[in-house]
Amino acid sequence: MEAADLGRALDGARSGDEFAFRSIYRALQPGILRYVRGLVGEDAEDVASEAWAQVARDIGDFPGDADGFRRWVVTIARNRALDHLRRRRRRPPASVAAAFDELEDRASDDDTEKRVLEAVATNAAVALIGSLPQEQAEAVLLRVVVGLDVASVAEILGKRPGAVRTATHRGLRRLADLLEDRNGPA
Amino acid sequence: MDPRNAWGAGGAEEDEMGIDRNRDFDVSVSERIVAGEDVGPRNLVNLLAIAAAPAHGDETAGEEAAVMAFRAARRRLAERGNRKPAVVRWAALLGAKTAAALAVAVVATGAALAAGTGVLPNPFRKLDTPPTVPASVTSPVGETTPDPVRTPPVVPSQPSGPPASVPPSVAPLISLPPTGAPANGGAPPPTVPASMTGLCRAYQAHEDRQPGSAANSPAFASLVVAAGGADQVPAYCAAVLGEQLTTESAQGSLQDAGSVPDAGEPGSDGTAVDGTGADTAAPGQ
Repeated sequence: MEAADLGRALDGARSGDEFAFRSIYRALQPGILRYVRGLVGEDAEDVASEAWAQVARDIGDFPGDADGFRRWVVTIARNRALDHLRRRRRRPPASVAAAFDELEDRASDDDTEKRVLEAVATNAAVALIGSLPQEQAEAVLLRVVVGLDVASVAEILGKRPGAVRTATHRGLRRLADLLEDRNGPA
Repeated sequence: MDPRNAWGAGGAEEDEMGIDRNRDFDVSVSERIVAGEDVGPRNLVNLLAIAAAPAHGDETAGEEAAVMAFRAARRRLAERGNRKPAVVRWAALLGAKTAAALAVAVVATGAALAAGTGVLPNPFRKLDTPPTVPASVTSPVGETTPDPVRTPPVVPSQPSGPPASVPPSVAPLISLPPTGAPANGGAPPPTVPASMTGLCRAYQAHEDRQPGSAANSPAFASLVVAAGGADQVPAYCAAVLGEQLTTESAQGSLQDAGSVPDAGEPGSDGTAVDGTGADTAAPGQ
């Protein structure tokens, strides 16, 4: 969703427009869910639901613009995810092998099955990114999957933009190695 | 080889991983990949494209739950707008007239403001003493209703106890001199405490600057109590200050006082690491 559209939807939701809120949810939830999945694994939907409950509660008082709102929602989701990890003490071990299996199984001519497999593949790709060290995983997920710019990611993670670029680079390098080791040179 | 493309960002970590074969995959390549350019290892670009694929239907399965939370929040917000001080809720139980007189008496003790901090004064103690403000203050236009507690006007006594929770800003407000002549008919009761006149002026000035915000300020808590509710303040002050007062707006709305759980503050969960905003992503830099 473009910033202008998101801004209009935000104005609507702040004044109580339920459909505006729905459009915000639909626009942001897929990226949020994938980001959270990369952090917490299979509990992602519960954690994302907690985050949306908080967004729904406080959106009426949110004072900023569309970009600020996007950062705010991501930050809420991140905090819920980190809370969840603290309760569970650590990040789940990402099964790289399982992620690869799911990625490679995605060939079908049937449309319905194709969609299912695409969803599986997306989750597997996110899981593979989630297998990176957390700093790298977050940088890659927030930039590539959620689509935030470096400055926004830096603000959300409390890092300098240069550190975000470095973490992104290390993460991509590591992913490239994982893929190459598995599949041979591209 | 351009020295800037050496493994500045990598170091030992990358060397351990044995990726010398990708020496040209530096941070600028990563930035271009993130920006969506078709560069870098094919497998990696495909993986990222799959991870960022358009939404799948089941990813938004929580929409109804989120909307339910949104509706609940809107309801609480609406209730919060109607919230009245605890004293007013007490008043509703006692009947409007009695309660209003009591409320003003309580105000005179300075205790009413404590309601805002959760300390509820005992209104029954005040039953032993005559109400200090005539009913004409508490129901400026409802003169036809018999008032069981109507008593001769008494100038409000000095506070009997220290107004512990009075915000510092109240004192100067109370000392504002009352001005303005009463209009015909709607004359404010002769015994309206000067503090109410001053508070009304301050209230109106506050409303002129920030409409809708004054009633929520603790500085006006005593005024809200005296008026019989936040939504009654404008009518009450209109009477006090000698302006026209409509009958409907003055009729009590003491019944619908309610409390609401506090909503969290937005941003309480947000981070505020600032000062980095100028550094935006620049593909290919």
